[in-house]
Formats: sequence, structure tokens, C-alpha cells
Amino acid sequence: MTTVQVFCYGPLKKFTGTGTNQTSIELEQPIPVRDIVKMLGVPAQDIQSVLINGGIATLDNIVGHEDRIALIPLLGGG
Amino acid sequence: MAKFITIDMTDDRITLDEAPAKYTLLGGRGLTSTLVSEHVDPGCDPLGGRNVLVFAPGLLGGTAVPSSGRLSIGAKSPLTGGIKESNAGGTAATYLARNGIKALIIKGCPEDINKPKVLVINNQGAYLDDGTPYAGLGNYVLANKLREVYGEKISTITVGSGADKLYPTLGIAVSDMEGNPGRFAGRGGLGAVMASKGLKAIVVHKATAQPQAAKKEAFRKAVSQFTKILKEHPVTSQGLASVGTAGAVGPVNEAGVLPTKNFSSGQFDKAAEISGEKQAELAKARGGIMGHQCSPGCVIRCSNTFVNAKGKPIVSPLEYETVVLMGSNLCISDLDKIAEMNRICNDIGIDTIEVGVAIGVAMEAGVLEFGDADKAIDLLYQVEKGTLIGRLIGQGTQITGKVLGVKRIPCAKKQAFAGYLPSSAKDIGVTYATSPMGADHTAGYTIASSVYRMGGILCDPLQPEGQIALSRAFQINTAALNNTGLCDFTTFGFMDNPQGIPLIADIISSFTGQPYTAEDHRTMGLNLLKLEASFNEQAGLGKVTNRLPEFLAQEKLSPHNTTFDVPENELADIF
Repeated sequence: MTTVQVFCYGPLKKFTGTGTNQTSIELEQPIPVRDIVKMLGVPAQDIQSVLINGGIATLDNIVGHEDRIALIPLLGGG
Repeated sequence: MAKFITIDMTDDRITLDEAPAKYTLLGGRGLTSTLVSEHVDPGCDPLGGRNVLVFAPGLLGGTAVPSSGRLSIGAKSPLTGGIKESNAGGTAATYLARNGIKALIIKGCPEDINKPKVLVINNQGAYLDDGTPYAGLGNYVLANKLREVYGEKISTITVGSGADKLYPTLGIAVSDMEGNPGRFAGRGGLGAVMASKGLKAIVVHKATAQPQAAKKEAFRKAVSQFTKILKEHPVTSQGLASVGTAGAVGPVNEAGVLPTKNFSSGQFDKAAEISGEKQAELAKARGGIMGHQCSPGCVIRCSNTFVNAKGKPIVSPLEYETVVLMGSNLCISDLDKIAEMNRICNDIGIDTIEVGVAIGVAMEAGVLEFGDADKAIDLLYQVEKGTLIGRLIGQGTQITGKVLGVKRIPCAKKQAFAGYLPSSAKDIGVTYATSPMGADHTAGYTIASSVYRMGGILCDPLQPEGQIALSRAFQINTAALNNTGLCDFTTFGFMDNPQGIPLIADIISSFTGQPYTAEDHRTMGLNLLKLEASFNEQAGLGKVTNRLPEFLAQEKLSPHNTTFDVPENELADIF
């Protein structure tokens, strides 16, 4: 078993199901971010950017081993 | 025809001229930087009579083009010593343009700046009123008094209570749709230039006649398409309205780019406490406002009104840059304290970025502890009073750091970094190092690419490769956009849309009746940057100053354990 932390920003917060923007998911084995997105029910087209442990990534990257995944919608700002 | 109004503050002489035809395609930053280059000796004292302060609505100001209400203000900067353009939202650009004014050109200096004037603009022209009753007032009381005297249907452009101290951190406040003086041309000390000219306020009476397009039908059609793009794009229609600019806190923190503890790290463990999502939550619980419109015709509505626990409005807007540079960068996570700091800064009229970073440097020097919000608030009151430490902070980050003997001074061309750590986002580091404005995120907001993965050029923000081309492309586009008066945030709407830039070119062409293509737009941006860089070179800010402080090359900063390592020779030759 391995655990990943998922952070959903802006309007994606509602998909964590925890009331916060964060959830942890237990996995049998490392899997692509795309599969986690499906498990949470986040529409892939609503995700503009994926960060894994703060680094640039895509939905195809494989995660596991306590990785921190951020799903970022189109927010803009700054 | 659009007018230039020139005011000589030495003898109160006002002249009205038709704007020369050679400026037909210029507005906003294009016009301020051109006029400053033509009229100002680059070697002059920025606070002396030879500096010239220019106010210009964008080329499309006052028209039906959505989110085109930015007011550009330009002069030689007392902070950087180079050319400066800073722009603000609010109502002034719209009202100026609808009064038929293309630029206000303020020259000269009076003998006594403590007997200031108020410049009043209406559809007949301009006149000067005695401003001594307003001397020393902060922006909030000042804006209220001006509305009492001149009526509710005005826009105000003002300098706050720091005016008499000529702080090079003073910005210029522009009133919003409700008359609140909360929209700032904050950067580079233009408020000190205005104060040095003995000008406490400009009152612009509301006017409703939109500037007319040369080719009306083509203009109407292009504007309609452009409006549709903004209204259909998720960022420009909903994203910014729902969580404000501070919606960027979470993603930027995830990317390790959020300045923390005087730019010594890119992650703040309490980032969620200062985020846009938190602001939206508080607004809902307390009766604050998200999705506030700062200027007429803005469809993006990134502004907000932050209220305290009793529902009393404290500041509008509370933005990303402020919650970062007065928040994470100072290890302060209490939004109520940050909002209070913002309000004090607004009243004095000082830039929350420059002063926030200066306080971070003072914290590093041990003047106060990181995280001590109450002492930070006290420091701001000392800036207002003008005590020695207050005057030091009021001088900005570079001087504060030098006097206090701090090695980590986050400045480029003597202007403080905005809210992004350059060693984790090397793209924005290039913008800081090379913009003719000094460190200014708005001059080339590459974070849209490095964190949000928008636009055509994508590279790894942790690597030096590709960052020069990325920043250069953003800076060129931004300079051209700043000519139009369009808000930078419109870029989010069309960055990934191949129709975007050609559509803006069509709008400009049909409005002016002049040929203007997407390629002309790009050329306009590049030429403007070269013009500004040339002024800077003559002012002593040549290519050699296109660099970042050495601590960034020496210290491996968390969380990515990276330095800023874009080669200096490439930075020098970017344009």
C-alpha cells in the first residue's frame, strides 16, 4: 500500500469530498495521475496544470510513495 | 479631436492642444513612455522641476471595449532612477478619455510643495484650485472631502498622507466605481513625483460621450467578438471573480514560488490562511464582496472588498501581491492584520509590495521578529509619522537593506521583487532582471506559463533554458497591451486563442482608422521596450543592471534547492 496527498484548488475543491481542498488516497500500487482524477470525479478538461511535489507534471505521470499532487484549474491572478 | 493638457506647476500655466497626429496609435504606456523620453532629461532629479509626469488613458480608454479602463502614469522614477510606467484601474481613465483627453502632462515644480493644488478636469478643459485644505490628508479622508466639494460624479487621482515626505514608495491612488481610493499605480514612486509638483489631487468630472471609432461597423463587430472571448473563458468570466487575484496563492505555493521569510523560501506552511479561497470563505461568512468591478465595463471583476468580523469594510481590493508580501514573506498569516496593513498603506499612499518587502528586510535585520504583525503595523504608523525608522522603511527595500546591513535584498534596478521567488520560477526572474521598470511581475507575467501552463512557450521553471525567450515574448505582448489600456488579465482570455491578438489589432485598426496588424502590435511592444531601455541607459541603468542580486545565485533555496542561474550575458542582451 502507498498513500498520496491530493490538493484541489479553486472550484476543484468540491471534488475532494472532505470539505477542505485536501484528501489522501491509499493505493495498491503507483498509478497515473489521470486515474486518481477519475477516482475523484474531476473533469479532466477542468484541470489546467498538474504539479507533483511542486514540479511540473502531466496527467500521465505515475504517482505513489507519499507524493503530493496538486490539481490546478484555470485561475489566473497574481 | 483628443487633447493634450499641459500644466506647468511652476507658474500654474495651463495649455490645451490638439494631440499631434504622430501619436494617433499611442495611448497608455506607449504615450507616457514616448512623452517622457521626449521631454525628460534622463539625468535629471526625479523630484525636481525637470521631471515630467504624464497621465494617459489607454488608446481604447472610454470606448465600449471591455476591461480597457487602465490609466497609465509615467515619469522618471525616484525609486529606480529609470523610466517608469505604472497603471491602475478605477474610473479615471474612462472619464479622462470621455472628456476628450489623451494625456495630462504635468511639468515644473512650485516653490512650496506644502501649499499644494488640486487640478480639476471637465469637458471645458482644466483649472487649478487651492489644495491647502487637503495638505497632509490620507487618501481615504481626502477622497471623501473631494466628493463633498466637487460632487459624487467624479474620479479622484490622489497622493496620500506621505506626500510631504516625498517617499519614493508613494504610489498614486485612483478611485473605483464607488469612489473608494483603492486602485493604485503603486510602483516606482510616481506619487512622490506628483507630490514634488505640488499636486495633491486631480479631480476628473464624469463624462459619458464615448470616443468614436473611425470605422464604426468594423469596430463594433471586433469588440463584440472580443467581449465574447472574455465572457466565455473560465478565468476571465469566473475564476478571478470567485477567488480574486489571491486565488494564485495555493498554486504558487504548490510550485514552491511563494516568497516566504524575506525570499529565503518558496513555501509557506500557512498559505491556505491567506489564500483567495480563504478570502471567499470569509466574504461569505462576514458579508464581504468577491467579484467586485473596479472600472466601468470590466467583465473580469477580480476585485473584492474585505470586511472585518463585524462586517465593516476594511480595504478594497485585498490582492495577491499584498497578502504575499505582507503575509507569507513576513510569516504573517492573519488576513485581518494584513488587511489592516493594506489600509494603512493605502491611506499613506505607499506601495504594499515595496514596503512589504522592506519590512521583510527589516525583520531579517532583527528590527522586529518574523510573524510579528502588531510591530509591522506599528512600523507603518511610523512611516506615516516620519520617525527615523519610519522614514527608512518609506525609502523602500534597497535603502532599508543597505542601511540595516542585510545581504538578502530582493530588488532589481532598486525596485522590490513582486510575489514570486525567482529561483523556483526562473521565467519571472528574467522579467524582474530585464524589465525597464525594475522588478515588476506585471511587465511580463510568465507565471501564466510556468505555473498555469498557458500560452505557446512551455519550459521547466526550475531550469534556465528557454526562460529568456519566454519572458521576452511576454514582455513584448504586455508592452503592446499597456498601450491599449486593456487590463493584463484580458491576456488570460486570449493567450491560448489564435484569434486573440489579431482581434485586438482589428479593434485598434478600426478605432483609429490606421492600418494595424498583429505583427504591428508585436513591433509596437518591442519598440516601446527598446525606447524605455534606451532612456534607462542614458540614465545610468544600462544592460549591466539587467541582473538579480547575488544571493539568488549563491543560496540554494527551498523547496527545490535551486539557485537563479540564467546566464547574465543573456539577460543583458534580451532586447
